[in-house]
Amino acid sequence: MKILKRVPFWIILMITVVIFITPFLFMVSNSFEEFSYVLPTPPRILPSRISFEAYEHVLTQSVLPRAAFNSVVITLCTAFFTVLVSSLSAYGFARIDFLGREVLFKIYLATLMLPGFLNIIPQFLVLQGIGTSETGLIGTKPGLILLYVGTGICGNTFFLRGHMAALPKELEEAVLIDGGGHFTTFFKVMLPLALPSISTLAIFCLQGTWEEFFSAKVILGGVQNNITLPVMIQSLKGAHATRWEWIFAASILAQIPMILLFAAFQKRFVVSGLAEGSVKA
Amino acid sequence: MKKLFSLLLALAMLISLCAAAGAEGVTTITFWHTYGDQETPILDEVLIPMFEAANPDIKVDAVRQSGDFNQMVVTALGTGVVPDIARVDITKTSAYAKLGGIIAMDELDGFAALKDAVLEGPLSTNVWNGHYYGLPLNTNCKAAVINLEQMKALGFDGAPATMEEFIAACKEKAPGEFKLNVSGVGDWDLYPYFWLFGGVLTDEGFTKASGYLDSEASVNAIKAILQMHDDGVFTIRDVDGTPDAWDGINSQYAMFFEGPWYPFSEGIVPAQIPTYNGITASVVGGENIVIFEGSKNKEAAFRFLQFMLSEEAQLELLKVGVIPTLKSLVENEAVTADPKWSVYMKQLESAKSRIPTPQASTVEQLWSDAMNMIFLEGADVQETLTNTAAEIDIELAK
Amino acid sequence: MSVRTDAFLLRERKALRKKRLRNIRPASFFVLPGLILACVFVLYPMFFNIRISFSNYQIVQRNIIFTGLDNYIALFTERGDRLFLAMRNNFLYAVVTTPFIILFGLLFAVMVNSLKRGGVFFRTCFYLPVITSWVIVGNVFAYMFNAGQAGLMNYLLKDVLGLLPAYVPWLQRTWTANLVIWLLGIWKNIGWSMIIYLAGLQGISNDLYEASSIEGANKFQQFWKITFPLLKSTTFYVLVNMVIGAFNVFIQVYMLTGGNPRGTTSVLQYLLYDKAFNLFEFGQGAAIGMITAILILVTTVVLNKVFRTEGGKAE
Repeated sequence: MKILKRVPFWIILMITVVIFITPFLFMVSNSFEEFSYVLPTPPRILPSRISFEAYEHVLTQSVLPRAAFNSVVITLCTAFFTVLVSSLSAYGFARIDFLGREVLFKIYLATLMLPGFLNIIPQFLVLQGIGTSETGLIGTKPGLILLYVGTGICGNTFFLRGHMAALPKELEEAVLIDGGGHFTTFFKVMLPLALPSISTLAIFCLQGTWEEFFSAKVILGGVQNNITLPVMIQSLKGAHATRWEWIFAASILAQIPMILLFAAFQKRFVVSGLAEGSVKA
Repeated sequence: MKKLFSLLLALAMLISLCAAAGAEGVTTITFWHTYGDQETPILDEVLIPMFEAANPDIKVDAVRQSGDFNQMVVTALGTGVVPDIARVDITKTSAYAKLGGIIAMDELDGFAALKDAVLEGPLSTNVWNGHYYGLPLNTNCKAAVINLEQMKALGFDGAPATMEEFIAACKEKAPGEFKLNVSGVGDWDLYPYFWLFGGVLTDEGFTKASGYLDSEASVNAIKAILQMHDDGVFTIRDVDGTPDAWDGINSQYAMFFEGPWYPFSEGIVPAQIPTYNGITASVVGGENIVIFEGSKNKEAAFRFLQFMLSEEAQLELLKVGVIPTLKSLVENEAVTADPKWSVYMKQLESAKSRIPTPQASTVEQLWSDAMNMIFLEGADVQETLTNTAAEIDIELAK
Repeated sequence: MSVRTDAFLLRERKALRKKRLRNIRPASFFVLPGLILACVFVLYPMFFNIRISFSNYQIVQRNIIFTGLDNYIALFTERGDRLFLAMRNNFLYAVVTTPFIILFGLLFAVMVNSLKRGGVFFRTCFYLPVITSWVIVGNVFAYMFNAGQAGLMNYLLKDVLGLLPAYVPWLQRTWTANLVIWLLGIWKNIGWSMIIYLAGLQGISNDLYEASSIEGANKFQQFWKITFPLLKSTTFYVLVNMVIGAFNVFIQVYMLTGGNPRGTTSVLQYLLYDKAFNLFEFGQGAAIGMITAILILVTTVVLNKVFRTEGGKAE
């Protein structure tokens, strides 16, 4: 009886899911086809064949492996430095009452309103100015990583500050009484306690960096060896016609790591990490 | 802690910089292009090795760009981090020149010889302010792509000679079936029809559109296209929501106009665009090769440019559908013997170029806005063209 | 209030100020790395843009010629009202997509939350669009909404289900194209709002539901009386994020319509891109950035006023 009552619920849920992931099913089934620049009519919802030619093509004939490597390096480094710098600065804002704190934090918040779009030219000029060579950090992975960490800093500080401010004051007072400073508090108390939200930040950062297109295109687009996956996928689009099966195959390959990452960590980090603080504040 | 990290970071930068500046005695030049899936392997595996073998002191780093190439170039110009040399669209050349981003080549050693060697029409797209800012690397135009079977059903053995008889046959044998298709209303799509039906954009010197774009001949040309549309002969994909030409030519369309990159097959062949009132028309496309003002290796870049304009390089690319710009190759056997190249080379004679101006993007927008108003919203032809001509005048005067 | 307490308060305040001043030193170790990055990559570009928006910027020569309000005037008086069309579309995007994102996000969260098994699978499915690159989903949507029969939507709606009399050129007509842009926005963001709601649901104790079931409340009553009110602040969080996000819409338009026909599907960020990178009007592009910022600021303030005071403090 109880099971029977759940049946309509399950049917609704399944239908919703199928509608929801139709674009992905469509992408998967079309990645097995061969279009030769002409789209099939009617469109194929189910594949007419199972063939991995398109996958083979993008894996062997394109720069996908190289781009995947770049994406991994850039994404990991960005997440690491983002977590480091933003948790430091969130601690500063949350736990130390220094002069100018409120004003500075308001400025951070205000920058979140601005569309970051046109900033690309001044940002580019800044990156160019770092280092000794003519092009500076343009076209290099450290350049893009620095840009990602820098542009995300205000929002990420805001995110973590909420969590850290919510932790009880007594914690660090105990450390201070024991003769420890802020340094000890940060590493011994704050980091472990804020770990769920920090992990959440890390995962969101991994995802955001992995899919970012515009800055990656502008900063790295001139150096074939350093391009990332989204840039590589977009470059598969031809000037006159497109081999959709290649785009779809490459897109699916590019998605797999993120799906695995999310499936593995969603409950532990994403949901509970968000539940910790800022969402509720 | 923080110091440690900045130190590490600085070290990482230093290493990457050293690595970049490492190679000794060899100049590396960067070449940006938008060659497609077929052309890129020729460039990477045939042409560049060929060039590097002949010029051991130069290494070419070719970077394939995609749809947003223009934005890459603009960002590069804005920041000074430019490639040495690039293949850019003919309609963008004068805009880059006006921005001050690419060099005038008139004074370069060897330019005069190259200038005389290339076709004049494509060459003219490099002129801005009385100087040459590039050389035509490859050219193309639209020709008719026809489905032989469909044509047979309409009563033609091969391509129809005139538009008049094609339209009549469509109305009679396939009323309302839209046998002729174009993608959109942009300049590249609609100019061939506009010119074919007798329209005129500007005066000879491209200084004025009023009196030309809104002349009786131009109004009639647009009206003729509208008529063909209303008669169920001609369909615009973006207006009517009809299938794309590349798909539809296999089943439902008899003809559309396209560049030589169309993958022709057994029953789908290129042909001259049928005449209307005895004239045929087409639009010139193609790319120029330009050298950037910010390049440190202009001399090496120019040597690569000379190589790309050599007969052997141009013939290699011809194999995959890139039409050469060298006069000497017009009569070359590889061109004349090939049924496809001969069609396109012939059609080029009647192909006109779009208005060469640094304001080309704005002019394009004005044109497609006007056509959208006419074809989609049913605006009055004469009034719309008069207003648009006045707007274009302002742009051309800039 | 006596003079003595006043003096005491003053002294207190001075002492506090001194302490806060002293605190700058230890704080700087934590705040400075972030601050430097923010200055270099966010604040400096921001001021640069403000300046450019009042200038004619020649990018190659790096000349910045002050032109006053010219860029703004040019934008507001431009033929075809492109700026106003873009603003309209941003507002419509916010108004249309946000309710759906909130509604479905909440619905999915509650559904998934009630599952005893399979939670990981469903969560991942609903979250899939969020973790997929805009470049990828943009391509897929462009293909699915292809005009004519090659498009999946046309094929399904006309040939399979017979709901449409003719094929629809989805991306070539103002309102159908906007519809696709909204759909993509909704679809891509529902998973995000679901996750936020899931997090919010973790904070609601099960006791409340148990107590109400004893009193005979059904599932719907429970939802309206317990779940929804308790998630008010979460809803506000999603709302603000989605509305601000609505002013930053770009890639949908860039990949699907390019603002066509005649700028009627354009949005502010696309217009900015078009001005700066296609038409080389960097000053006007920067001015659009400033206009967007002001719109976002005003909208956020209004949202705060309207929704926060309504049911008392949302915290």
